Amino acid sequence: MSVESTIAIFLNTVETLLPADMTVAALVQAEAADQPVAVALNQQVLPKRLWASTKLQRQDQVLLFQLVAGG
Amino acid sequence: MPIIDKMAPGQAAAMMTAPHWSQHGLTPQPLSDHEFLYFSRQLLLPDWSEARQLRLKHSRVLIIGIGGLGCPTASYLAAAGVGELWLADGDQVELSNLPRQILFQQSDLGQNKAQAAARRLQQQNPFVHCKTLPQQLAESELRTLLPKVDLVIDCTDNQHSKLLLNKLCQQMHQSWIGATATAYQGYSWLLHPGQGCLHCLGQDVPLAIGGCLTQGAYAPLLAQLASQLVSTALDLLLQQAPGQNQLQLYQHAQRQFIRCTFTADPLCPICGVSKQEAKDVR
Repeated sequence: MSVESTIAIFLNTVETLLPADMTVAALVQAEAADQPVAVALNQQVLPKRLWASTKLQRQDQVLLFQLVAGG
Repeated sequence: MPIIDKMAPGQAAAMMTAPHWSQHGLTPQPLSDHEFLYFSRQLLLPDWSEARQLRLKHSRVLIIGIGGLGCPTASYLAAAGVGELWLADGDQVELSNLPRQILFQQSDLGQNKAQAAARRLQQQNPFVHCKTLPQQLAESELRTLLPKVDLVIDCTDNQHSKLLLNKLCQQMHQSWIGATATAYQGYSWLLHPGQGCLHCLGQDVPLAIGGCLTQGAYAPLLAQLASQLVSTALDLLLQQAPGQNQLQLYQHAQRQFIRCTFTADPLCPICGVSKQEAKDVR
């Protein structure tokens, strides 16, 4: 993978290199396929319906977290 | 990118219903000397006042779920001077609850949680009045209860209850707060109607079965989430809460919370529909 074809984002605060045209849906598929997760992009919760149409940008801060129900 | 609805300062307060006591034309009595002394350290805070303390005294909060989140939440709300707590839980106190559900002790084992918590709260706090609802609240009961309280707090341990409250608070145009945690994962929220909701978050998907029963519970996380709930509850009751929906997400690796806002999904079947209905009414 050439340098030009990648971007650096922060995934759960850790700097991570990804393909330049990667969508949020593809990232979720790669990191947490079939798991109940939610995504916050640059400190905004991103509804699941928008994952496929949202392309990641350089320096994006992505929080990928497990949905839970306990208390 | 979708547009986030933002409210002007004070608009969130306007969305909160008038305190239940003022709806009946009642005027609160001044604090007694005993109350002044009891709450003196809070009254010494630079932005606190007797008027604030009175507002809390005449507030009514419904806490649903009196477990690892609900116990510390109820305890600190009572200690802050919230006058009336309605406690709802259909479960009984079990031995495995005691390390983190701080209102219970060995002698409460087998007792209903709402009733045991009410007894302890009233022993510890001379000015709180507790009403107990020793059952899992059905939708029809919630529809009756929600308009009677100044705030509802979700401290339940199951997805069904959280989604039900999410739907009803949207339909009834009520701001609400809640939290959830399993093992080292957890988050709390402040949700105003029409600005994104638990459905937008994705909370409606099937979750891992068992929750705390199979994955464990981290008491310091529950306590921190409860502190956030209490802080936000006081802000809401005192009409100082942020006007934007918020999620506070725990990151265990860093032992810290990250604050996020919500992106409202206009096609969300819960808050999107509610928002459209609100426009239609206008």
